[in-house]
Amino acid sequence: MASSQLSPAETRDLASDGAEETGHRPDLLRRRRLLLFPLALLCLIALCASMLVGSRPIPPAEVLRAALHPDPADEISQLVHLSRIPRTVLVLLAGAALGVAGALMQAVTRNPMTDPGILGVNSGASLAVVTGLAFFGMSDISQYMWWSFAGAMVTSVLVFAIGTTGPARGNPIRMTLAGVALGAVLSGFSSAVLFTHSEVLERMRGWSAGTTASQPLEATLQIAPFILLGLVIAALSTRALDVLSLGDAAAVAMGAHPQRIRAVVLVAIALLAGGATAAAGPIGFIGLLAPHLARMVVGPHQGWIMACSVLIAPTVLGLADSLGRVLTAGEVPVGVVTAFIGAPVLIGMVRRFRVSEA
Amino acid sequence: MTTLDLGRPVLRLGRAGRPLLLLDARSAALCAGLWTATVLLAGWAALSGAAGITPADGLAALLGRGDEYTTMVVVEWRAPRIVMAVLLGACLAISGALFQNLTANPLGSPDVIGFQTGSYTGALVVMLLLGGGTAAVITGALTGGLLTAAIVFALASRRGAVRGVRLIIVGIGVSAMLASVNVWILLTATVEDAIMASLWGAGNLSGMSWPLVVPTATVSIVFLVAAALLARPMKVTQVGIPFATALGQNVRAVQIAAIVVGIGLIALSTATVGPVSFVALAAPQIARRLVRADGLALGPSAAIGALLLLLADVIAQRLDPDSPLPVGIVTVSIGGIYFLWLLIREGRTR
Amino acid sequence: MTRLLVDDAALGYADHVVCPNVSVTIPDQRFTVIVGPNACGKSTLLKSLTRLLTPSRGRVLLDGEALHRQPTKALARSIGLLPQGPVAPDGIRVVDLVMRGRYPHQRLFSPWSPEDEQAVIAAMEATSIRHLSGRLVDELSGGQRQRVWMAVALAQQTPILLLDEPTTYLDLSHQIELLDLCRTLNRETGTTLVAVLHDLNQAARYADHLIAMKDGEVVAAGGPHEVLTEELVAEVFSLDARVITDPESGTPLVVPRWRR
Repeated sequence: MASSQLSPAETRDLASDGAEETGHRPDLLRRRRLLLFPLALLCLIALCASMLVGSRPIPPAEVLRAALHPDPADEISQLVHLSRIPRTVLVLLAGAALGVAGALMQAVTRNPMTDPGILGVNSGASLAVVTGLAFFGMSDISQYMWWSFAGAMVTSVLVFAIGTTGPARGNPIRMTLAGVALGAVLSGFSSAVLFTHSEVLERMRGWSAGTTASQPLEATLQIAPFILLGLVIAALSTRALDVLSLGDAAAVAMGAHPQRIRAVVLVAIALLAGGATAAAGPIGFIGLLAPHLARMVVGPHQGWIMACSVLIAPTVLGLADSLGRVLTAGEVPVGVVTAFIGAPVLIGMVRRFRVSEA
Repeated sequence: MTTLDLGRPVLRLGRAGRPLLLLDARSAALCAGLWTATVLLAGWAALSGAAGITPADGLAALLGRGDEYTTMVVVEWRAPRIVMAVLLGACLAISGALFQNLTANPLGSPDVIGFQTGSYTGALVVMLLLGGGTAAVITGALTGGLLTAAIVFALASRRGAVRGVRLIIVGIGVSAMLASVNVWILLTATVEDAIMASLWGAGNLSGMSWPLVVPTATVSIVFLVAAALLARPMKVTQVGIPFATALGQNVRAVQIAAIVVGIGLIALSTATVGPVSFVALAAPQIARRLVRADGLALGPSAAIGALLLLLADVIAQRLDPDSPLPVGIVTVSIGGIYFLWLLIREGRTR
Repeated sequence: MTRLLVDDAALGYADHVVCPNVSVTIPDQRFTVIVGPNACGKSTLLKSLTRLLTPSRGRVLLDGEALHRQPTKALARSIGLLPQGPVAPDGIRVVDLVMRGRYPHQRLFSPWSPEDEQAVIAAMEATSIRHLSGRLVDELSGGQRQRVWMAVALAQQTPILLLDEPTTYLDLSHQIELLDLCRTLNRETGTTLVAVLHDLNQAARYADHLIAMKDGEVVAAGGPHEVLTEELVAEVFSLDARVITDPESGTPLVVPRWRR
């Protein structure tokens, strides 16, 4: 039967995603810098949409006034400050976190078909949160943030171990699959816990497909430092990751330490994915989509991919969230919308990728 | 006439000089042992328990000579449940074995790829949106499962060929979409309805009755026989499509047949008892490890699957007699631990 | 005398045509080798001699009848193929793999016969792997593994055997070993052999009939002395070379010119 092995050429094809060799082509370099402006603009538009869209239509001027002049007595002002602003901040933070986490994962595993959702990191974080809630009576986000981080960290290490040792070594497909299976296992454990602790089940119902509505602003701001730390680490690792993308042997020849780089990046992934999951529940596919789109426009350069992901991811998340709010009378959880956008992209990616005959 | 050294003990059935059947001795011994254990466990499960029935009474009821209460408990409640566990355990295991062989990947199992998610979607639609009864739920689940499979295959084939890699990733994508749909549907229901639906979604053998078991058994036996016939062609396909074609096999026909049988088995199982995960993944792998045979170890896989699911159900029922668990929770927990152990072990040996 | 021939065929894959117009005859009971630069269509031509590739125009004939009209299993008893890069399933033993080669001879309800057993034994003896029969294929060296694949192909017991680059990835000593085995097979049993080889000089040594291809066309076909001339080597391989006589075998030896 046709094996699941990829030839080195195919792996390269997959990783480069058809993006052209950028080298020193001046038009592309210029293009990159110029691109940041329209991307930032798009991001801003998406965030504004997030502020303006909701079950109750409020004219933009009103929203602006309420945002700038908080008035506890005014209903609209309350709505804006207790609901719209926290959501928007969450979209920005969680989006950026997921996008960069995805970019980091794809870089460190050399596999473009990964993101924290697919590889089970989000499931690991969820399981830890659910465990904390069920068995240890955690209730405040500042408490279960640590659980989420721990869960994300352990899962990242496991996935990484799967990806670089054993039968999956060097084979992106096997690694993706191992990560998916791991995610299924961890979700299964979550189900088992939820089943036997129905009070947690009730509380986590809205959370399990990802939601931007569950946290007050203060709670969201509590996870901000973790996410910012993760982003800083990511920013500092970009050059090392560029070197790593040439292969471990080549990286060592250039004086880098692959295992050390990976360890640091794993911490960043755990901070970012853990933080996003703690705040908004497990949201998948953002980490897949944002770096993918970024790579299509700026090429295989980690620094630029991450910079663009920071802008593209909240854009996509914000749009997905807004979409979820307008589509039906009730609210479609943002994780459902991202799945419907992201899964076809994943399927498109694997269909485009040609597996050559022996 | 010299004989072949097969590197392991082999039973030769048939008269010398005429076509023989070669049976791996280890595999045969293992199957015999496993089925014995399964029968013993089944007997124990049927004759013991919290209903206050002595083994002697239970035995009498099985032979048709018990009183009304004992007969009801043992013959109407316990027996169908036990038979279903054994039957579906075998079906799941074989479905897993077929898919893992098709995708040439030990993780290419229908429960990982997500063929069961579509069945859950179908069932949820019927349960929560249309408000149907058991028969309707089963139909919904079957439809959902088969539709999902059709979509996944349509998306995964290019120029008529399905490759393991593509099948897996497309399956993951489709099931991610459906899983989120499932969560959404559950969100729109009341808490009580959601819990009831989750009970089904966790894989549940309670409420089994003969009117359900008999038709399921009939259909599944057809599929199981088909799987047995596919064993040899699938062994040949393992040498790669070009070589298999050169050896005279119609690879496409074998692939399609394997897919149909594999899907049929898992759709049937999921429709009747809900998505039970990890039996399809774990049983064939355990079988291969124990038997150390080449390729498909269908007989041992089925035996292990049957024993596993029966054991899981017994544990699910007896762990806390006041609140029995759905069998799926047990299989996920045990299966999950086994899977993690497997990963760690594989990681360390290479 | 020829049983197998390609008649005015266009060969290719779904998206592109590799050989727009090719006709070859494969001499019976001889060792034919197809040579040419990369991407010249050698493998494509070889595959067209089986049911793996159907010509979009023209025909491939075996005993006068078009290949794709013959039932697959019957054809597999006449023509055997050892493709490039065959895949061995994990954990399979040598003997089990060789047994797969008997598939064309097996019917649904008679899975294993004494003839099958003898064929497998003979194949393993011919390739000198009988002592490895109980070993796992994963544990073997590259050379041993290629011999196992050769045994699988031999177990088919076909009068015509096709080999797609059987010597690539092998050490030189193993390459020679394999080619010597092919030659012995051809001389002793009269099996028609068609192989795609990369190494021109090996091709010259072992081939009775040589087919040189370039850009999807057959440039020359005939005995090694006829085909391997300095002009042809220059034309087909873009190589400036002398052609001398191999002191060991008396066949043409291509020696690239040395730039000082």
